[in-house]
Amino acid sequence: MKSRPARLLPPGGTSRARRVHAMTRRQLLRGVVAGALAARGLASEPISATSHAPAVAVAPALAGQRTLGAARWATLRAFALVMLPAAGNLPGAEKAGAIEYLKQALAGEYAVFLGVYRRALDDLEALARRQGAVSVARSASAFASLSADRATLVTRQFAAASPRDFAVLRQHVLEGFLADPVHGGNRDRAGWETVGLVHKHKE
Amino acid sequence: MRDLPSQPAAPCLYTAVVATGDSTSVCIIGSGAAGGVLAWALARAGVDVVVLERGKPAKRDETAEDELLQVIRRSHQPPVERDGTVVVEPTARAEGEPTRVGQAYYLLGGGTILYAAASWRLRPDDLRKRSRYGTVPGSELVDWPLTYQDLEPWYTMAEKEIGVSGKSGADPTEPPRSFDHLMAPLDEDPFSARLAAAARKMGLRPFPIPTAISSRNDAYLGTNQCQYCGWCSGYTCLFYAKNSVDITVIPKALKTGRARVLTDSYATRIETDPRGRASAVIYRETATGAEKRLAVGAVCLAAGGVQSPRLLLMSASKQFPDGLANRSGLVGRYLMFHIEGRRTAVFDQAFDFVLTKKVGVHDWYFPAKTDAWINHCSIQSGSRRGPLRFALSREGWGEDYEAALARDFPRTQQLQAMVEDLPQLANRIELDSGRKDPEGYPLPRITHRYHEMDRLALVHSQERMGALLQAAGGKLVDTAEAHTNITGAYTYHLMGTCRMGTDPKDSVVDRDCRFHDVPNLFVADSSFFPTSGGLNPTLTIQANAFRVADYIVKHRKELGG
Ligand SMILES: Cc1cc2nc3c(=O)[nH]c(=O)nc-3n(C[C@H](O)[C@H](O)[C@H](O)COP(=O)(O)OP(=O)(O)OC[C@H]3O[C@@H](n4cnc5c(N)ncnc54)[C@H](O)[C@@H]3O)c2cc1C
Repeated sequence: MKSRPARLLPPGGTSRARRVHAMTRRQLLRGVVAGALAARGLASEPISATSHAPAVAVAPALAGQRTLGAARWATLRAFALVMLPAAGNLPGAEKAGAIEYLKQALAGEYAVFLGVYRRALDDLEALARRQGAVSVARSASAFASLSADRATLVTRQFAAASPRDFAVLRQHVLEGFLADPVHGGNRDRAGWETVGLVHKHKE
Repeated sequence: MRDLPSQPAAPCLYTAVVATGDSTSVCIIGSGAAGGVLAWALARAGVDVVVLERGKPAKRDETAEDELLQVIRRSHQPPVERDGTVVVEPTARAEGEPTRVGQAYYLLGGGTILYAAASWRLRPDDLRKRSRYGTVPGSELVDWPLTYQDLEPWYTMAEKEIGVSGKSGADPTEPPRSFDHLMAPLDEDPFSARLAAAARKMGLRPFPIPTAISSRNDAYLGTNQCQYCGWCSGYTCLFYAKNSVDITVIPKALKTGRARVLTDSYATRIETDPRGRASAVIYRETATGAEKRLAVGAVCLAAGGVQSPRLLLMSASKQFPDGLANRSGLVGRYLMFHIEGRRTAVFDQAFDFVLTKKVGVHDWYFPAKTDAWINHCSIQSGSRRGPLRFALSREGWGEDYEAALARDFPRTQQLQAMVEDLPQLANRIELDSGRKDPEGYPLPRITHRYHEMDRLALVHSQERMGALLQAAGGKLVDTAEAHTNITGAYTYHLMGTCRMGTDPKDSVVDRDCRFHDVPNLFVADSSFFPTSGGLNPTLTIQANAFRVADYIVKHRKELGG
């Protein structure tokens, strides 16, 4: 947790309460299109999912984990580790808190992305089974059972077949690695430490 | 960690209830760079003002130094799909897709909350392009109806009231000044020191960029000394060291008792009386949706170079069928941004993360006689990407990708160029006939195409920045090749859309920024710029706002009409 010098807080505002922003379906699609363009290097803007959207109520967040189901979560965790594996001094997605970030984000601000996640993770899973991981029980994640080489191969296939979905998932994993820890990821500033960012007032 | 400064004297509540039948002497629309200054300059002279501001006060503690919120989720801007601009020039995106190009930040304090605060005086030749360079096919070059001499005292006033840190005489193109900077320049950081040393070795004259960031505590300004956290451009300042108008001039305006600032108040129409004078401003309380009417003695637009002309076009009436004060047909035309150049290099050394404009190079600010362009151009340090943007801008994933981030992020530096955008009649803002904002008003539609000279000057500055980075020991990781349209890279400098001039046939406002067609209507944001110069515009906006306020004060009797 970062600490804020209490004296600096403006009158009335003490805690950093997280506001759950809502988002319309069209915005979602727009974000996804932007992501796909970014993936092809056509647009410099990252996917921007939220903002001061008007109060279109999103159903009170079910925990993202429950909504996706255990198998998809296992796939997502494995996908995040393909994006950012742990190796040597590199903490990898899990240790750096990116999975925790995804949990919190999908349970709140990014609940609107759940449809994309379901589709993307099911696609990954189908590709994994086609890669020979057929013996894994239907209730478990075949993708998560793949060797690192195979998971990389399947991820490449997935990125080529579904560039938009891939871009969304990749961006969110990176957010969990490098965003301010206040959002639930970047545990102990592991992401910032990895890239040598000293955040003078968030130590 | 240093001892943290405390917050300066708490501002106040910015909202007030306006009863029906409410009125004011001057209604200022927008509370940004221009609106903040107008409020203070008018209120201290005893003029009653109401500032209508569409946004809310910035939540510094929630968003400061937070890349996810400020840059990725853009928590200070409405969703682009509901508030973006429709760009109609050939772009990478489909035509008609709303973009962020020219989109405003709706906040108390406007763009000054997030700006990098580089605070320049335009050069005398910036104001006399036509007499200096003659005619240029495809561009309607003009001189400003003002000289640098006319503006000099107002620049001085703005530098004192907003607070600028800098070093006089260091910039080889700096015009003569009657006043040294209020504060010493900000400290160098390792990269700016290395860049400046390399530039000097090349025989250039690098200098500290003047910024509206306080290099010391200042009780009058109400600001603290910079803490050198590095999070300036694009971020709210947690330490009240960036001299944004919401902490410098607006609190002083409120203290006079003459000014009211209504946040969450979206001006949607300016009404005129039978004599063709502005008589009321209609606005919407965005929280409640309630529509209110404020009777006015005069109106001063300060909503920014896109939103001010949009409001005029939205205020079309029987009297003004093509938009308020638009008998010339020029409202919204001559839209200029600065064309932004950027070069990136990787160094052999890790640097602190600094998004502060520190070193400028102006040895190429003016074109050489042999150059095929006439654009002015400034080169500036301090525009790195945050870690998340950096990671997203690189393709790939996996161990090599992660290792490359770790290796390259702290060693990567960028330079930024501000290239003057030549005025063109066809570059403009209109109202889009299809898309509407959540309140039901048409989105702005932008047409913008670079002039051939803009492109040439951009490529030239790309090459110069590349040479500088290499001289400093960097390895370039991009090419001098530049983007070819405004969606490729745009700045938040929005100029020209209510052109200032003496002839009502070819300009929209007069020398005092008063609309030719509506005698009690003024504009003080950068809409009035006849040409854009090669420098960030805000100090010029603020200096001119003091000048416009002075005119209004001197003529308040006749304006009250
Ligand atoms: C990241 C960033 C960095 C920058 N760096 C620099 C820099 O280093 N130097 C520099 O000179 N400039 C810089 N700028 C640009 C600078 O912010 C603008 O030039 C400046 O803020 C423009 O002032 P303005 O008064 O014209 O408009 P703004 O400051 O944009 O203010 C307009 C205000 O009007 C309000 N408004 C709009 N429409 C309405 C309406 N209909 N009713 C009521 N209110 C309305 C808006 O909410 C806003 O608060 C930067 C901008 C950004 C975003």
